[in-house]
Amino acid sequence: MSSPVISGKPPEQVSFEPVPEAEFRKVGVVAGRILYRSGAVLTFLALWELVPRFVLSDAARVFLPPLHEVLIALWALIGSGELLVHATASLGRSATGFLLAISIGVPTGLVIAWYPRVREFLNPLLEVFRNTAALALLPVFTLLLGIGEVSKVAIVVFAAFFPVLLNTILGARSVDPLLIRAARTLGMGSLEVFSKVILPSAVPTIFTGIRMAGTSSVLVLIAAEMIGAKAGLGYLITNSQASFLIPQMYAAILTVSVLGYVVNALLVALERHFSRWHHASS
Amino acid sequence: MSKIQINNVGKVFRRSGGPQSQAVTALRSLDLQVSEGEFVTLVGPSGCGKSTLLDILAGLSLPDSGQVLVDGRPITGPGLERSVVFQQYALFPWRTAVANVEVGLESQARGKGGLTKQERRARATEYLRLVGLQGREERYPNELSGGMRQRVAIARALAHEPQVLLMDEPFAALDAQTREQLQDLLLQVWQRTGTTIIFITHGIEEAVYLGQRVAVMSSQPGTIREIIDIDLGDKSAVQDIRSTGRFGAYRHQIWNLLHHQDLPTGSTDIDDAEHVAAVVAA
Repeated sequence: MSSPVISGKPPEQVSFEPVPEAEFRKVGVVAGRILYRSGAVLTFLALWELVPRFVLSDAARVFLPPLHEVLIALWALIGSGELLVHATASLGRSATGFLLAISIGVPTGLVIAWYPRVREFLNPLLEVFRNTAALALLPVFTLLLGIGEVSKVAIVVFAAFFPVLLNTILGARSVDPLLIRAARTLGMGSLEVFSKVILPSAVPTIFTGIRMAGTSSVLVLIAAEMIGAKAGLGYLITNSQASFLIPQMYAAILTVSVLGYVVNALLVALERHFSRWHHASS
Repeated sequence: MSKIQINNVGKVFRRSGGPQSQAVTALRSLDLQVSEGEFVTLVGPSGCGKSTLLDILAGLSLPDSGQVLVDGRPITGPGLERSVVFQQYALFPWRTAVANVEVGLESQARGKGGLTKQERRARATEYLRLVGLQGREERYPNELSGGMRQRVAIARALAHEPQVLLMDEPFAALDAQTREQLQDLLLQVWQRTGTTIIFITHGIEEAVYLGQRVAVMSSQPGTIREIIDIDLGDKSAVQDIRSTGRFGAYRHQIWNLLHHQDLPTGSTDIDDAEHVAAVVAA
C-alpha cells in the first residue's frame, strides 16, 4: 500500500493497484513541475490573447492585436521566406561580430592578465569603455564606417568585446596561486604554467563572459538595425511599424525574443560542457 | 655524504617598502642533514618557519643566507627530483585523477628518455593503484573525498620517481581516521620506493609515528632545537603502537621541548623523560 501520510489523502481513496498509481503520480509530479515553471509564460501569452480581445477597445486593439493574429502573421512571414531572410541577415552580423570579439578579446585579455603593469595601465580606460553604452557610439560608427554592414558588425564587436575581455582578465588572474606553486614543483616552465594551469582554470570565467557577449551582441544588433538597415529583424520591426503591419511587427519582436533565448541556452550548454569539472560533484 | 644538507640557512621577510624594523626573521642558522632513503619529520609550533623551510627545499624560494645542497649541488629552483605534497592537495580540478598523476611525467617527457603517452597513462594508473585508488582514475578531484584527493596528490608526487619527497602538513586537513590510514599508506609507500622523505607537521604523534628522526623546531627565529632518534622497532608488529609506553615517552619528550623553549637541551634522553617531567612540574 502506498502511504497515506505521504499522499496526504484519506486511505479509502488509495487505488487497488498501488504500483501503477505511484507511476502515475510520478508522471503527474513531473508534469506539474513543468506546468508550474512555464506557468508565468503561459499566463502572459493567455493575457496577450484575452486582454486585447475582451478588454481593449477596437482602436486600441489595432496597436496591440491578440496573440493569434500575431501568430498568423508570423506563419505568413515564415511561409513567404521573408523571416528567414531577415533572421539570416541578423544572425550573420551578430555571429560575425561575436566571433571577432571572442578572437580579439580572449588573447588580449590573457596578455593583459599576464603583464600586471599593462593591466594597471589599461584598467581605467577599460572601465570607461565598459561603462559606455554601445549604442551611444552608433553615430560614431556610422560616421566613420558608413551605414553598411561594417558599422553594424563593428558595434556588435564593441558590445561583445568587453564582457569577453574583462572576464578573461578576471579568470586568468583568479587562478589559485597554490596550483602555480604545485605546477612549478612538477617541472612546468612559464609557458606550461600558462597553457596548462592559468588557461584551463580561467575557462569557466571566460565562458561566462562569452555568454554575456552572446546575449548583448544580439540585443545591440537589433537596436542598430532599427536605426539604419535594409534587412534584419530590427529592420523588420521598424519597417512593419512604418507600414502599419502591426501583427507582423509583433511577430518580428517575438522572433527576436525566441532567438535571444535560444542563443543564451546554447551558450549555457556550451559553458557547462567546457567547465564540467567546475560543476561536477559527487 | 648526506642526501640533503641544510647548512646555516636563514630567511628574512621584509614588508615591501617598509623599514628594516619590520623585517621578520623566519629562519636563522638552521642546520639539518638528511641521509639517502631517510624519513625525517619536522615538528614545530605554527609560525616557526616550517613552511618557509619547505619552500626553500622545493626551490620555490631561495634562502637569504646559508645553502641547501642535494647530492652536493645547491638548489637553484624547483626540480623533478624533489616532489612536494601540499596540505591543500593542489590538484588541478580540470584534470581527472589519472591526468593529475601524469603531470610530472609530461614535464619529464619533454626531456630525453621520457615516456610515451600510453606509458604515462600506464605509469599513472600503476601509482593510483599503489595509493589504493584503482577504479577512480577518471574521477575529477571534486568528485573525491579529502583523503582520496591527498592520495592522488601523493601518487602525483611519486609517479615521476623523485629522489626526495617533501610533505607540508599533508594530513592536517583530514579527519583522524583517514589521517591514520594515510600515515600507514605513506610508510608502506616509503618502504617500497625508498624515497627520502622530509615531512612537516605540527602533530607530535604524527611526527613520532612516521619519522626515523624527529627534528623539533623552535620559533622566532625558526631553527632546529633538537633532533631525536625514534626507535619503535617494527611498527606493524605492534597493535596500536601509539598507546605503548615508549611512544608516549617520545611524545612527552617532544611536548616538553615544544612547550618549554627555555629549558636546557641535551639532557633529554628517553630514559630521563620522567625526570624531565618532574623538573618541569617543579
